[in-house]
Amino acid sequence: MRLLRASIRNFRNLESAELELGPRFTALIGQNGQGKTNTLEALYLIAALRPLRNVPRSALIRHGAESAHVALTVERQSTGLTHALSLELKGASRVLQKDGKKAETGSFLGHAVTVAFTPDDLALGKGSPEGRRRFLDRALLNVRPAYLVRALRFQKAIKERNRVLIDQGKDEVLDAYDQVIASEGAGIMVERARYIRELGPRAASHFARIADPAPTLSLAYAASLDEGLDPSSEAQTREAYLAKLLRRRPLDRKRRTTSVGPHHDDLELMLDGHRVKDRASQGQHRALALALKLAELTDLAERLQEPPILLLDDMSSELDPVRSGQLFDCVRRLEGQVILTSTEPPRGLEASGHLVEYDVAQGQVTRRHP
Amino acid sequence: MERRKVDPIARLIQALSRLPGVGEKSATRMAFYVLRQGPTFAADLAESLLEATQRVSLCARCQNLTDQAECGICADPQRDVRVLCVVENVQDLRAIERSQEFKGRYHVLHGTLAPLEGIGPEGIKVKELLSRLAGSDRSVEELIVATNPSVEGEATALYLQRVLQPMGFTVTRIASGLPIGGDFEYADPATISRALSGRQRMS
Ligand SMILES: Nc1ncnc2c1ncn2[C@@H]1O[C@H](COP(=O)(O)OP(=O)(O)O)[C@@H](O)[C@H]1O
Ligand SMILES: [Mg+2]
Ligand SMILES: [Zn+2]
Repeated sequence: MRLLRASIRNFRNLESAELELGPRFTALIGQNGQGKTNTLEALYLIAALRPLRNVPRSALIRHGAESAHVALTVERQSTGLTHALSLELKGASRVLQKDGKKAETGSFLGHAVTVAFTPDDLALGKGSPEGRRRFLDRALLNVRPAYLVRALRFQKAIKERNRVLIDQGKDEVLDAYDQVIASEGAGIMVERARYIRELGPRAASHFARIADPAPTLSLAYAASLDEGLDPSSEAQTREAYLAKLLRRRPLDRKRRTTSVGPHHDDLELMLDGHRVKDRASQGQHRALALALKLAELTDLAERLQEPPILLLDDMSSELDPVRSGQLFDCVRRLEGQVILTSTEPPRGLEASGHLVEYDVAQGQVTRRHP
Repeated sequence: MERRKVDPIARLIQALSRLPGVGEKSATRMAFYVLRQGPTFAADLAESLLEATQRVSLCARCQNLTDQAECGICADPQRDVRVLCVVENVQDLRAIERSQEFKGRYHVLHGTLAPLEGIGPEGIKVKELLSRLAGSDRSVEELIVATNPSVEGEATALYLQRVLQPMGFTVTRIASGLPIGGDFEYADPATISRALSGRQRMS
């Protein structure tokens, strides 16, 4: 998968930007606050249909403009086909087009499979369960676009069920919502559990290589459904979830919120059998985040049978030279396309050839000629 | 002081842009088209709008739109009175009629459950459904729930099943084949036909 060209209009502080992306490395260089992350954000949004940073859609439209527009030309190596993707944000609405025709989320996703690695990800182990669920969900939407469709339906159903709880609605209405939630929620839990099982050994081996000294890293899915979750059977999991929703209903009615389900689950990270949160050092936390991201990336490359696109935000300043070197070694071996931001021109990438550089200043993105 | 009159063209454009799917640009185009056609055309348009809104009301039986007490479908003796197809709205009913695959009667809910908008079972035509099943339509055996595959459509179908199944009705759900996130009223007849014949018992 390769991004050929991107065109961005009225997105954040970018009034109009045109980029021709290098086949390997493209660097966006500039001082802070100029629009580098905004550029990555535009690319990530059209590729993953999720925001890179957690903000409402309306914040992405340039102040004073009515709508924002991002267009992308992508080439898929495995098929040799080129696709034109476009996304428009107007008010709270979003319009997607693929090859000139209106498209839905499910058929739009998967054409520019992209992994983003940002400074926020470095807090993966230390931060809230929400951050780790987000990591899982972002990784899974790349594995299977249908996962995102399910996750969005689940979110909506939870919001609606909670509203029924608040309005003290009828039991028959809750029965109906429990079924929708159990169907979508079981799928989400099963997919997450399976994914974690595959990611675990991969993350452990990256961690063993990166961290020094390196305790043994293991991953587990901490599900609020407990033993009810059966990764080998979505149908069984659904039944267990449905039963638990029913058992918890009196409590949920009292608290006016849905207390069990994938929206309360966590990715548990352990070093030598102890929870990372209680014991890891600062350096280990960084190594851990890097190991998880590398595991996600290499796993995805294997599944797709071609490397995904990687967006790196400020990584050269966030990681020490050794870690940064380890990241780039792995990235070089994958031979995928990388788009990175930095305050300084990156060193050591020219050697691998094809380094394309852009200067970003006050929302203007201009090609730097050697 | 002389009272300023509203510009009639601006008023027409504003009125037209209140229609669904019509933005200011299309409204402007329509307005100038109407002006070019002249008063006979405009009178005919105005009259048909008025007549439709004054004479059309809900069918007493199925809640379809009709200018009679009962709609043409309910009044048709050829229709199978044992099967009811429950739809969200009249557009969906019409889409299914176009496919000519369904020989039973309908019930139009005029909406779905939508808790975030404060719409519960009382906000749609469920009460009317239950009363016709207990009264004038006791011959119904099967209900095919053809709500959209959206979260709200799904929840509404499951709600109906939850209420109707204990009363002894067979409740089926049209099979997918309808694109998730897609809208029923735009589905082509072939898709609708496949969805109807592949309907599944809800349990
Ligand atoms: N909707 C918006 N309209 C205009 N400017 C915006 C908008 N959102 C953010 N900005 C501006 O973008 C700049 C930050 O850009 P960013 O890409 O995060 O910087 P950096 O180059 O450090 O990564 C800030 O000056 C901010 O005011
Ligand atoms: Mg930045
Ligand atoms: Zn009728």
